[in-house]
Amino acid sequence: MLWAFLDFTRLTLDLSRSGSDNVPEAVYDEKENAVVQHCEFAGKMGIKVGMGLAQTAALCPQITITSYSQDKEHGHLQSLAARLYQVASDIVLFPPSALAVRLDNLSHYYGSINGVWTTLSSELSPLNVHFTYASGWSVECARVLAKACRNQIFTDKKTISTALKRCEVAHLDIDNKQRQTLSRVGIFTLDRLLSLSMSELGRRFNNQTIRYLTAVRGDTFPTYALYRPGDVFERDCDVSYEIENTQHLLPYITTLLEDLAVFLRLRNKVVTEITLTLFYREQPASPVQFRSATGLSSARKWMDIVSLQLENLSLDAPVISLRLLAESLQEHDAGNQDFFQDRHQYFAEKQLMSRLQARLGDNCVITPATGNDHRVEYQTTSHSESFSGHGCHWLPAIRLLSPKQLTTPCQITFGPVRLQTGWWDANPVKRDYFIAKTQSGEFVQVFRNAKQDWFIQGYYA
Amino acid sequence: MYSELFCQSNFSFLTGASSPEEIVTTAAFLGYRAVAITDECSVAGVVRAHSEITRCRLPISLIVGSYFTFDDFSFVLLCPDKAAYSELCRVITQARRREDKGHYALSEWDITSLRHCLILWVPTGTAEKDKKWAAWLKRFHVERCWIAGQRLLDGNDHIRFKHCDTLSDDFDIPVAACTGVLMHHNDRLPLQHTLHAIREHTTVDKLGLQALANAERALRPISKINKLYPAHWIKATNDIASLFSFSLNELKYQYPAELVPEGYTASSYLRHCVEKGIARRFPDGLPGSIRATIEKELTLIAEQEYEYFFLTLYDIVQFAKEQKILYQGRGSAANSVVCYCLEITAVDPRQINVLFERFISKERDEPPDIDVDFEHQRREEVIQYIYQKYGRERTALAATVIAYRFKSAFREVGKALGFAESQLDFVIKKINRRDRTIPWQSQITQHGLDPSSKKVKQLISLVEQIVGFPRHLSQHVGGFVISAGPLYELVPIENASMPERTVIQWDKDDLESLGLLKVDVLALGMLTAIRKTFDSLASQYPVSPSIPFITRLGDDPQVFDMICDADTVGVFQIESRAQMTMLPRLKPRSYYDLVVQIAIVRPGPIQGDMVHPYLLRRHGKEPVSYPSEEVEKVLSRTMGVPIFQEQVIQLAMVAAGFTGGEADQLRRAMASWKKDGRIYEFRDKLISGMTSKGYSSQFAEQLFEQIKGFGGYGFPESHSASFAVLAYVSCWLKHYFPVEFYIGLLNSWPMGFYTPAQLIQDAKHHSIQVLPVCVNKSAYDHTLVTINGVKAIQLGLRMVKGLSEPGASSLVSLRPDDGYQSIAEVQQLGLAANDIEALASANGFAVITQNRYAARWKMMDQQHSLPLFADDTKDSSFPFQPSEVDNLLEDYASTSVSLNQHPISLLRQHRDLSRLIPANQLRSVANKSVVHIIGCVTGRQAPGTASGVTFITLEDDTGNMNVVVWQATARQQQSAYLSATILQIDGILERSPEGVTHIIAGKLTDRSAWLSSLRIASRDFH
Repeated sequence: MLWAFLDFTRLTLDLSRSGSDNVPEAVYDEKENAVVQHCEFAGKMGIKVGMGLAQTAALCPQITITSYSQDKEHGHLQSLAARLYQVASDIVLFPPSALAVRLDNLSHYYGSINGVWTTLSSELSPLNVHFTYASGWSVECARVLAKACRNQIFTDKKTISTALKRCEVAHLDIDNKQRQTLSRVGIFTLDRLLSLSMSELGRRFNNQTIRYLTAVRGDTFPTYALYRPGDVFERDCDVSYEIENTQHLLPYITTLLEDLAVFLRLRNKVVTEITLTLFYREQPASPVQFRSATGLSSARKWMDIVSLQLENLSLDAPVISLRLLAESLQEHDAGNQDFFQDRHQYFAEKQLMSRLQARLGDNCVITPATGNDHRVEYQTTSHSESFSGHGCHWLPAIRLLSPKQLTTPCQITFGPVRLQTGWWDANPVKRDYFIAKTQSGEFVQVFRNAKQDWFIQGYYA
Repeated sequence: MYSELFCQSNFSFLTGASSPEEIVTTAAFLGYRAVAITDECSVAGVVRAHSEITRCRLPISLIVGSYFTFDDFSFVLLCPDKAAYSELCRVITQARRREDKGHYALSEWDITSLRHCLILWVPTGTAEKDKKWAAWLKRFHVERCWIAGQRLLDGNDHIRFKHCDTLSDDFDIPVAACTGVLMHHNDRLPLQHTLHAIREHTTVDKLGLQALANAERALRPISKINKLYPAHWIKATNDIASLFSFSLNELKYQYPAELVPEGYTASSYLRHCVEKGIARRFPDGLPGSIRATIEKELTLIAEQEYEYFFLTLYDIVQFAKEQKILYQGRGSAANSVVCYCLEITAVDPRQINVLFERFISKERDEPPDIDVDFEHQRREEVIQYIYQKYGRERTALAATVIAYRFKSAFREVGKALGFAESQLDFVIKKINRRDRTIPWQSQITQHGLDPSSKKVKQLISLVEQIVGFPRHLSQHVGGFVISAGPLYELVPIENASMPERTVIQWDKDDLESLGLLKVDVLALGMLTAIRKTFDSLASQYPVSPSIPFITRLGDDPQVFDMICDADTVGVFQIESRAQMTMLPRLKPRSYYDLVVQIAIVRPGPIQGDMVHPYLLRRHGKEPVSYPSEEVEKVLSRTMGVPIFQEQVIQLAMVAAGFTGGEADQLRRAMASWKKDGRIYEFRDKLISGMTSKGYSSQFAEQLFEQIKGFGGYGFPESHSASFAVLAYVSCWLKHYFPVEFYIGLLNSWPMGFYTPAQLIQDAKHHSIQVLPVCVNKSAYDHTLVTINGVKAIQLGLRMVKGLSEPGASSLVSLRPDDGYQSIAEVQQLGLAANDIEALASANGFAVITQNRYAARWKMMDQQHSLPLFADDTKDSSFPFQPSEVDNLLEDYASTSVSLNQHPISLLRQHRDLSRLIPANQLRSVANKSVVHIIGCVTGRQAPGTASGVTFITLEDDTGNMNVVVWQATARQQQSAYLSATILQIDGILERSPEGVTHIIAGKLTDRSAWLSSLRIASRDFH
């Protein structure tokens, strides 16, 4: 057996970089208070993996920090594996950022081991991801060599053995305590470690460690769960510059939709709903849902819906990354769709909603719900996650979209209700609300603002 | 006329958005007759409100009360008289003691049993629940309860009004108007929302309908109140307010009576104790002048009725004395002759001319301040004695109010406003709070926050408002309040986070404001070290050394020679880098010089720029002159330069015309200026007062800077005087009995400024032999051994990192007479595996194995510990041996020190370091020459007083070197500056006329890689 191990040492950084070589960038893990990845430029300024934020900031005040997320990194790894799965069969994932590919069983298809490696590396090269790699007779062996940054594809046992002996104990995948135990008896290199007999080691280390060491030596070959692409389509795409105009997103979305189409075609599936999540540098990510009444797989048809809806979407901040998610996959079975009448109606309603939403925007298709805010404008909401508590009992049946000046005299029958809130966002209010009766007998909701101007906000039924 | 009966201040943590002071001031301004401070299950804020009213003579009465919630029953208890106050304290105490710190739980009995407090009930608005409680109130508390009628303009007022009226009619309980104040002014609404969001762990925009809809829960003008409420509700409120007669001034402290034996009064018993002390302290007869001072002091104590305070301390120190626990009193009244006779302090009045009157002022009527330090390892015995003697009901620790500081405020407010945590952390870590040239508000904009953004402006404003807000109550380090009766009748008691500790709800300032006395029982590591050294001496020589024994010998020139050479590593107070730099310049030759020396290296005198004038005058380079006779009286003992805190205050009185009361306020403002900045109120008065009396404005400005410098680090002469005793005693011991002293220090660690490794290096520099840890020779503690008649230090097992104390004790107690012969023998003892491994790492098995690798390898073999294989002593040979570097690294990893070799000497063997000058040869290098040095970094200090300069201490095999790194140098070479463990410095040697040598760093080169992974314990930026 011959396995290649690829350790993506700066996955988050590679997929989120600005691209400039003169900007120091680092990825920071809040939980551990440690830098986990950094670019070359930051390295030159003295930043090292494991440093705390204070030291990093002190060494390089202008550094750009990206937060580390294990889930996100794992997501990136999944998409790399999905990509490699097109050209390789046996892939083992080592989350969050490493994977192993078996080489020997593919050499028939690609001519030689080197041919396999060339194919694999050319599959990765457009992504510009940094990784260290090596091959070995077992996954464990390849992993040790990759951790030692050998960056070589070894094909014969002798060179593997020689390279392995040069590795340090620090490169082994054992816990810190065991590593320390070994170093405190002077075993710093694999040369020393592997020169000891397994029986001597067996008296001093647990079975798990011994099993691991025999696998490194190539005496045993543990079994691994091989990677299988998931049933859910989830693909990330980082844009090469910060995009502020939705139209500039379309080429990236097209690529994602084409990937989705391939994914669906291979499985004979269609999908009625996809979610495109837009990621920003500062603000939280915003998901945008696209629905189709009938299941679709074609990238072109989805693109029609997406472009229609994106026309109405304005971006609050520049987008730095996209994620396309398609979860509810359905069998592609056209015959069944028109069979039942009610089902047809269900689709018709859905279709109408999706068209309306796509054409007018989500904000214009309101499902009434109670909002969790004192401000009258936010008391009804179209958001799906509405507030479950009780709303105000004095709200009018009809609320004007924008208040209009009160011009006719009227008589106050209830109030004041004083609202002074919303200072944290763009719509602070400082108003006294009243219920008033107009001369024509209408009950209206009126308010007086800080300037003592009066407005009608709504009408009671 | 109106009184507000329901106000929560910021002592209802994360709920109230105004301080008690702000509430009473604003309420008085609005013309309220009375205002109640009713924090939730707490009276922590009432003293502050009371003090503010007294201080500013506000025309308003304070009502003491507290707000509670019990299931769906919310109510306010108000105290019309002292009996009600005691009842309230009892209820709070019971509720608090049932729960962990920060929480409370009432029982129904607590409220059923109320007999004196008035109840203001806040109905829920749900008819069914409220009817149940209305009937309950009617049954148990008729005549003493009211319904709180609130009008909050939130759209529910009409429902609430109707509900209150119905309840009132149905159950015949009157309704009283109240607001339920959370803010003194409506502009605090954003802050209240922010506090609410912090409490709910969410952001302000997500609070939604939970948040206050408007700012109506602020103090409102009476005209508005009259419009909002029915007249009969307001009348009910005023009727309630008229029932209150209680004032916190009524609280009178009753000292425990058992201190005075039968047949004595407190005064006569104090005199009796003093006379007994005179016989002990002055065996050769009492000089007339001292007798006169004693009489004067006793009269003053009697006038102020402080006898019990002195007797309480006397009792505690007598206990310590019986238990042979070393102690030392300090503080404003500690250095009186009475305290000397009562053995509270060892400062001989003949050595120091400290006027007792200066510390107990009749005019100021402030309680005497005496702190007693005890050995840090045995203070718990003293605390337990106090608890046993007076009982837990009568004793508790004073509280310390933990307030929001910049970092916590910035982080929590930022989170509440929706900033990303990582961004906040990043900014916080980048902000240099010591950089006084750029305020933090400007600094944050340099680190990625847009100053023009509304959100950032809000962040800045809210952080400014919240800094200083109390966050929780913590326990004071050792301030005990002891009373005659149950303490909970005086002040509520709650659980501290430490098990079995209780704290009262007031801090030391509150106690001081009410004239209540506390006894400070503090811990001091140096006392432990000195006692251990004394024990060692007593076991070797036929003497029983003590602190007075050494001080009575008078100033010893040899000891002062050592001090002038700055050979003071390990001694008390004058051991820090800054102190050691000052010693050769100040050249102390007497006890009082030490008193000055300790006080001068402090932020106060440094910021006031008083150090250089003092040195010039001391060395006769500047004439000693005084601007006036009054000033001469104050400053004569420090050559005309104000050094001590009380001198500065006295100057404010004699030179700027402050009255006694104003001077007292100045003293308090000094202590808290970083919290509230109140000190600036005094600036103009001080400067104009001094200039009008003919002093230069420059001198006045300097004095004000010095006053600011004392803020938070107040250091009066009396403290310095007590510290100087310990400093001198420790120097004396170090000079005459260095081996015993080092052992005492090492066995008392953790304490002091230096790590054990640094102390051992210092011992070695003094040619003291230090023997390594040995499984057959070491005890748990470090011990004194004699080799060829020369004393040496045998390191103890406590030095071994990772070796547990029980493990070490078993190893020692089970050791055969002829020692352990093999590792297997030690393994058979049943020690934890970690313990044995730790011993092997420290090379403790060196006497029975070839090297530590072989020892560890053997121990790792699990079979030896199994009984069946116990006799299997077959040694499988282990092929690897540690090199010198390995041994050194192992030594550092396991004991933080290598006795065989210093890392730098090892480097010398392997590299050509001849260009680099060792520490002990720096003396022969000419001033201003370029030098190259290398050493292990043992400390980095960037003191706030040194405007960006960092002092790095480098240690090589011959001694320590002091490096000065300017800010610009550090910035350019950040990597080496911040992370090097072995550092090469190319710089310029500078030597002062007094011989103090520094290297001004030019180039910093990180040489850590030369000894990779060497872990030297550097004490960075403490």
